[in-house]
Amino acid sequence: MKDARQLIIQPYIRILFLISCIAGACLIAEPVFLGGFYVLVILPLFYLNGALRKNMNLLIFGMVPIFLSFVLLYILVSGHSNDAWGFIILKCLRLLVITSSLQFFLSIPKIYLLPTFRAWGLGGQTIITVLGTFTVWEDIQFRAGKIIEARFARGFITERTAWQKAIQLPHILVPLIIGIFRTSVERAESWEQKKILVLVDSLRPAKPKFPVFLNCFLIFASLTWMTLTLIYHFK
Amino acid sequence: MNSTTKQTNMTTLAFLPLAIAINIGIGAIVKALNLPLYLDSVGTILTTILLGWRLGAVVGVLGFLITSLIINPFAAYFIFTQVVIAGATGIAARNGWFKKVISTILFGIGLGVLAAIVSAPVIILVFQGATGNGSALVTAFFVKTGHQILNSVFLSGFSIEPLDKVIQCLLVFYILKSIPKTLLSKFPSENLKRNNLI
Repeated sequence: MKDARQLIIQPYIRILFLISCIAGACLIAEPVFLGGFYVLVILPLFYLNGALRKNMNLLIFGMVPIFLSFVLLYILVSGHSNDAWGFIILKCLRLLVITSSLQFFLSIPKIYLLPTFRAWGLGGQTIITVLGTFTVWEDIQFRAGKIIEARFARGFITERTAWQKAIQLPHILVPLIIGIFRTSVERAESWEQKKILVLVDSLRPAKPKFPVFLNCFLIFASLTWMTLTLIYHFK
Repeated sequence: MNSTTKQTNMTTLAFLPLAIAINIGIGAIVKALNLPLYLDSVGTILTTILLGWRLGAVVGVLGFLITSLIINPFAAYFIFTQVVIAGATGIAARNGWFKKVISTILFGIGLGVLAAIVSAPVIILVFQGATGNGSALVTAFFVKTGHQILNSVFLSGFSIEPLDKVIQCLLVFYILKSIPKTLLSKFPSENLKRNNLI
């Protein structure tokens, strides 16, 4: 159900949108325009993509600490006047727009990763590397959990707190990475037998049907934003 | 291409996702604890020593892009730093700097200074020094002592990065010393011989 809400965007339009967002955010110096673009274009796109929560995490856990850092550096410590607030808001909004557009660009639905990478000219090795990272992540978490449990059973960890687990890091890393090495060698032998590179290169996923309205809207939004920012910048 | 070369290429391909996951995992733990450290390049340094600086850079760049997607959205701004780390580690590995603890520590200090120099323009241009993490507090300290924000960012970087990179280099050193030589010999790198690892 979650995947069904994810937006099917043509790979080159995805790149165009990213470039226009970044270029526009860098050129424009009006917080109102930046805020309006974020609220009227970026937020709805995240909502339609079923990833609004991800962007809200960026806003709350990313931008709020940065805003507070700005206040600390430019108002409390530097002792600048109230003019600094305008500067701070502009910088925060600019960072928010650029980072959100980057987040949106990277939020490719799993089932469209292969056609998107193919469209961008990336080969089977890159696809295997990126997709493999997500699949081995769970394996690493499982192994790390096992090692922590073993150390807890032997009395090396006294309390099950995040800090206690964190200071086990040096003791976890060596057996974890040795296990990773063995896994990668075994996986390599398996992939060699299955001729995985040939399999991936010969995969021909069905061409996705890109929603015309959405993709046209993205092209329109990108070009309009670029035009407005260029007019603003060179007026 | 003979079967040994094919097997080695497959080992490389199978190892890369794991190295990226190492970068992501350790960096995530440190970020969750809000420590004034990063520890997000262990996979990059490890891959560079085992497979060369190009693949090390690939691990660093892809790792940071995936990190920015799932953990820290601002990681993507520092992908060039990862390329520089891979390049510097490649040069150090080629010259046998990972043979002994003392040379590893010295390289870690140099790598930290280099990383601070490369990251500073990003921190200044993109974040204006306000990164929202522990390093921003260090920057604020230097601003309070009378330094300009630009200088404070450099000083903050020089305070944190060398320690961070020394820890990461030492971690990689001990990891490589602990891995059985039969496993390490599967990786096609002259650096392993140059650093007395096999």
